[in-house]
Amino acid sequence: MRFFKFLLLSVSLGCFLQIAQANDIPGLPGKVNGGKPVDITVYGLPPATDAYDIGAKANVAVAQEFMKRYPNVGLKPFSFLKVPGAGAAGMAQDTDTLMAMAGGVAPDVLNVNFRQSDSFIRQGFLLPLDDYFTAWENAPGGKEELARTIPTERLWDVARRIGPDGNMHTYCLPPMLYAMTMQYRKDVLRNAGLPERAPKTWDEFYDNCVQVTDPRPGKGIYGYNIENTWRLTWILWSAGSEILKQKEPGSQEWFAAYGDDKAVIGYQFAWKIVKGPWVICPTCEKHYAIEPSANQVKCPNGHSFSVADLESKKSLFHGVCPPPGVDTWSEGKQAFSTNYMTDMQMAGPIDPTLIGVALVPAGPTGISSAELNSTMLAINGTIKDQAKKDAAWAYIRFRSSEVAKRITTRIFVDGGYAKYLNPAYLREFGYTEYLHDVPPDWEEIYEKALESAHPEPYGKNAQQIYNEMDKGWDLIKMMDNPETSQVKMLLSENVARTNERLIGTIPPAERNKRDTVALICVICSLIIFAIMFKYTLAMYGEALATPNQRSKTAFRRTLIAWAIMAPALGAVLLFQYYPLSRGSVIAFQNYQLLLGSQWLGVQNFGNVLFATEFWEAMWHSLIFAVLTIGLGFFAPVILALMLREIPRGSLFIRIIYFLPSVTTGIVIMLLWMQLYDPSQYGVLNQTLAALHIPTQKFLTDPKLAMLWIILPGVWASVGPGSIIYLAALQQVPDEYYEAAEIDGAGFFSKLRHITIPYLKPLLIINFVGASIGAFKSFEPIWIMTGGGPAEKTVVVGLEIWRNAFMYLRYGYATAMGWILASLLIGFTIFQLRYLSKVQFKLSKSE
Amino acid sequence: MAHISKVGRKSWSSRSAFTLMYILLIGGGITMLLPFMVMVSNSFKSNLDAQSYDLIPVYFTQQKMLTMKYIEQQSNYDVTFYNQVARKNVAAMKEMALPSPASAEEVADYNTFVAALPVNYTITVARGAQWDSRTYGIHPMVTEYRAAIFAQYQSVASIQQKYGTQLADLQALSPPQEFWNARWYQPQIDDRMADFLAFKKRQPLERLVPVAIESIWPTSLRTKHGADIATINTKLGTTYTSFDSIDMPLQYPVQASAEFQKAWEECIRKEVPIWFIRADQTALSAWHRFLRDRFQQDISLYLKAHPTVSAVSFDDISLPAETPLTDTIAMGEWNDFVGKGQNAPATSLYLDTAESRYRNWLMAKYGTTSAINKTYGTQYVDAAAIFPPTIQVMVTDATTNAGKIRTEFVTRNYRSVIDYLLLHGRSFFNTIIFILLSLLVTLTVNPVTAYALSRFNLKSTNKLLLFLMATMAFPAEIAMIPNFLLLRELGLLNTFWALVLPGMANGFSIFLLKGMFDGLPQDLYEAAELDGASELVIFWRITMPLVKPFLAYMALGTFIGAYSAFAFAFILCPNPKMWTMMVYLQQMDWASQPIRFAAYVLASIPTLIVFVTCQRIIMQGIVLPTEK
Repeated sequence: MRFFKFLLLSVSLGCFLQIAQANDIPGLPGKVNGGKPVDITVYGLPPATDAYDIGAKANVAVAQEFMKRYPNVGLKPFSFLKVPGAGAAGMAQDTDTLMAMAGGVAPDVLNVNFRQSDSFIRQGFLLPLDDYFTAWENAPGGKEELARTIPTERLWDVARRIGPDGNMHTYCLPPMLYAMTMQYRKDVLRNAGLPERAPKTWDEFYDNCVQVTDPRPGKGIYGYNIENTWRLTWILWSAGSEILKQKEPGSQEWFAAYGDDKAVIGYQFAWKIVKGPWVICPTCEKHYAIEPSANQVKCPNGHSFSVADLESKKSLFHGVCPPPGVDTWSEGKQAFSTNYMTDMQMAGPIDPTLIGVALVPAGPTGISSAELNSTMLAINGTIKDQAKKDAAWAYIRFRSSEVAKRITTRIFVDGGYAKYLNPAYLREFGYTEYLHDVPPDWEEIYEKALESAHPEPYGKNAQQIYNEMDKGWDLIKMMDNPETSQVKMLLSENVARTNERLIGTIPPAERNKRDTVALICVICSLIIFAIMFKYTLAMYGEALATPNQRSKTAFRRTLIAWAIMAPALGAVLLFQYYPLSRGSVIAFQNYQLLLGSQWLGVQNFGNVLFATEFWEAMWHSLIFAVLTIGLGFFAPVILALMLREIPRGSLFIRIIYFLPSVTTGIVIMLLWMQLYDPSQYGVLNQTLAALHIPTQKFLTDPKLAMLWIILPGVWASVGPGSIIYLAALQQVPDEYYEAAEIDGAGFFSKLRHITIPYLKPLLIINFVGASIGAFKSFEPIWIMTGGGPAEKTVVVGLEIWRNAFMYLRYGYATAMGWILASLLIGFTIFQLRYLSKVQFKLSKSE
Repeated sequence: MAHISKVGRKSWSSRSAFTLMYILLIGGGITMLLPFMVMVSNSFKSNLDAQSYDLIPVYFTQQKMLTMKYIEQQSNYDVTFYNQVARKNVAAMKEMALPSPASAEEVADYNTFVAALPVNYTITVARGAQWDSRTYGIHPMVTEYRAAIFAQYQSVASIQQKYGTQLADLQALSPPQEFWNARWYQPQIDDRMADFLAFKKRQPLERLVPVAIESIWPTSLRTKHGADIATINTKLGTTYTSFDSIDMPLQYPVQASAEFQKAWEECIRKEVPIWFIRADQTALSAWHRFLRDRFQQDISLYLKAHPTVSAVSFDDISLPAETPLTDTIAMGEWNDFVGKGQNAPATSLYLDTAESRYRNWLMAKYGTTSAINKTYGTQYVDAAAIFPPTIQVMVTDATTNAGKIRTEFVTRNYRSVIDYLLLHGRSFFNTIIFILLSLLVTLTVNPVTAYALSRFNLKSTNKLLLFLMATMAFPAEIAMIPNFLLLRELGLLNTFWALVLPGMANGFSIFLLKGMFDGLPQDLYEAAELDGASELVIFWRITMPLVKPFLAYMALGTFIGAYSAFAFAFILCPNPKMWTMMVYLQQMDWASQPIRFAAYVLASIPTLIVFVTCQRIIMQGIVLPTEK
């Protein structure tokens, strides 16, 4: 029937024209949805309002041409929340599409990079494109164009993968390739008296970095920046190591391989870049590197100094990287940076007169290898509507077509940006007169970089690879002298962890051990929970017994009563009991949003119990709880006591202390984040400087970040927290104190014998509540640091949250929730028991 | 007044105890106040004075700071731009030195001059920075621009269609970027740009800043040879004394050293924006050769690319008198012609800058520099020393319009936030709906349930109460994830129901309410029943008023809970259309610190009002536990 309709439609003239026009792109559907309107949301579609940047302008032009060809297809840009602590800026897209998938607002056309591809495919988030690809291949000229679009087998390996159904499918279309190269600023090198070319070897590279770097005030020139492990990849590959390796070529099984001797050499080199000591000679201003263990050093011109002396003269420096958070590369104050060259736009909008491009320096092995990547286009697997699927395909097919490339080329050339284009396109689209604008070596460098490049890791869970590598790198970065044996040890731990976390490779013996431990723990806690539940029932059954039970209630009245209570009972049943029971099930499953969930037994529990980061998070939670209680619990009590005591001004002071509660918690946190500006211009740092206290790094300080996170909460809750104690204190009859006074009781004995006993129920309830709350709390941390720096503020609540909502590991996160609950069970029992023993009354205070 | 005895009040130890307490309380009070004072004070500031943290912004009272802030705004918050215009080299805006104001005659002449400048010789004061223009607050011009474009097209949809862009709403529309002072800037004059340029022509003169091109030369020398003027003099054979005194040769420096000529040529070809480069008639043959090359000797190809030109052969084509603004093909040609050594001969190139136009215009008007000096009270040595008094005129403007500018600066951050929070998107509306729904639901569901449990004497009362409360024993963590999945499956994500329903019934509130209902005098009920009052009347007229303080307390808690909800509002409603205010605040990382502070101040107003008006409710609604 549909085919018949299609026939009918195709004979209509309008449709015929449409097809004729679309024919220049093989495999592009002639018309979607029979010409009826259909909207698709597209990831990374520029909101064209400020497309002053030439790349964005070209994208807009391509989108406009698409809309001209498909007037019935509306393109909507995808916008999403910025997730706190989603990792480095460039990694944000790794989590936001996943979160959008979970939240049901994911775009129809997705951008998937290599490292993300596996988690998307595995969870069924991508639509298999086999039929579309077949149509493309079978269209006249299609085969040739397909071969041009996906030129290497390496790319096919990424685009064509085994799906959740166990069969091979094509999932992604890579319209543009990226090859990582080394860029260098000619002026920075020139100013340091260096030749304007990229170093060929690591030694030369490091030496150049040392020569250009001058972190002294007023200068602020740096060599290279390793902000995260992503910038380490070329070093590891050029050292001859690997990051993730397939068991055999084409295999779906991957393992982490950056723990070998070659990787150690790479890490040691990277350490030199971020931490290696070097000197600006106080006598002759000569820059030179020194050994980490040296005591007495001599500059090439023969001036000798002791290291301590250099330190006091502020002539000893560590590393050639700018301070965190400063983008010296775009400010033109950094000599080298690694950036992508794309097949279209050779080196981004950079000026070839200012910036040169070269292959990354070769390691000791003579290998120069960096990253190959692509923003692959894919279609959301949750789309049900065929018209939407077709429209999405038409869009990604159009985006990857020669026509789109021609448009882009035209926009670049017209805008005077011909020199940034790949000469191949200039030739192809007849702009030969611009060929001599492009630095002649760029094309060759791009080809070579492409040839030697390693695809970014794309195995199982590879989107977490940089996060996992960061954990090892953070430790290596902190070393004072990276001895080979120590680095190797740290790396092998890190690699083992990565293998376990990402790839899930756990030896069977270990698996058994974990399962057994987990089983015991689960059974124990089940028993405890059961006992507790029964205990609670009994306890409350007693406590809640209402004295004036009437014997019998009329049936009609009963019915009315149930009707009245139905919403509350229903809501509790649906949103409390059901999730609870379901949560008990999910904890034993590998729960997946779209695909069926597998039963895992106690595996999740085992994995949680044996995960170091869970126990680290537990430890952080403990620190958090102790600090929060220690700083925050007693302060309101003391404040209330003082307010009760002072003869005048109590109301005024109360209002001032109450100020923080006139705003919301999140505003408090955001406000303090601004006050915590770690630069010397921050409010608090300026205040500290005025008091002659050294400036602080606040939330970026791994040692003290937790304290800084807690302070705003404590600060904000002192006043409001004291109100209830004040109310309670007012309930204490003055006669008690007077009587005590007559008996000769002093300050402390009155406190001990009258006030504290009177406040006891309140103190106990608040203390237990605050303790439980402190263990579960994660919002302040999530907002203020997202778990950083160096994962030093990750608490269990945050770990649960991140695993569930950012990585979509629901089963694992739920198991973690159960374990946390089991550990807190003592508190909970006590709380419930105590609550049943007290009664609540309105305070009737003024 | 309890622990320290009344009798011993005057004793030494009591006195010192009181002193200590006051010191502690006042010290603590200051730490309570200061962050808020910084927040409020900074919310009125801009980048220039944001880091000074004075509790009353200096520009409220001081003209100098106001002038500096005005110059900061006129320079588009861009220190490079300021340096170009002012011919200075400061690292940050706050280091600027103010020149003496321009005289009335000078201002009048300057304005006449600016009014006559072509559209690409000036930059508007709100071109927006390279990022979002909201970063620095919304300049009134932006608001007017939106209104003007809206008036022209009548709807956002038709603007969208005309401009080929995606606009969520009118607030997403901002003026196009103007960087006529940068070589890389070669805008496409599409409908959007054309409309903007038409709008720009209607702007008051104080919103137009002439592009300073001649500062490119000293900057270029500094970048290439370092800040040491002696090095430059040695290398180029010049006799410069300081960077401020370096004048840019507007023609090929025939007399200068070869090195100097090379540097000049490179600067013109690579750094000066093409709009200001001209070629004299000696370049004509080179121009023809260039075009022949470009169009493969085929005049028909040329004519196809330039449909408005009529020519028989390439030799008929004249050099463009001005850089073509609307024709991107001609723009590209000019860029390549003047940009490359093998095309236009260096000796034929000259500059037509705003500065030189001013110079010529002034000399034409007054004849001699001494005449100019006499009228203006200036001390120009020769014509070459004359530069447009852009900054001086800004100083004058800032002084004459001080009141207006100050008011504008005081309100700008707040207006920007209101524009964003209230008008852009629906966060304000969402928050209100969310709060109202929460209030409605919690204040009905919980009391009626408690009432039913208290009044209807069901056999299963205890069991029901237990049922409602038992989940308290289980950690919220376990239910949180399945709850999310449940809402997802019910299709309730990104709806108000997802925010309201899960927390609708609260076992603990029901428990407390039931306890209070139980404690009400039974005679009341009996009397009402005797009067024949229905259950609804009893509930509404008798029961509820008696627990009013607690209900008010509950309402307050619900309000605060809903207003400040963040983590769950974030995860349950990721769709931007459903964001609440708190999510919006957290997502405001595009804004500069003062604007964020303004947003925080505004976001605190509802809670402030509630707390101030509900003080009594808070105190009366406090429930205290006592042991049985």
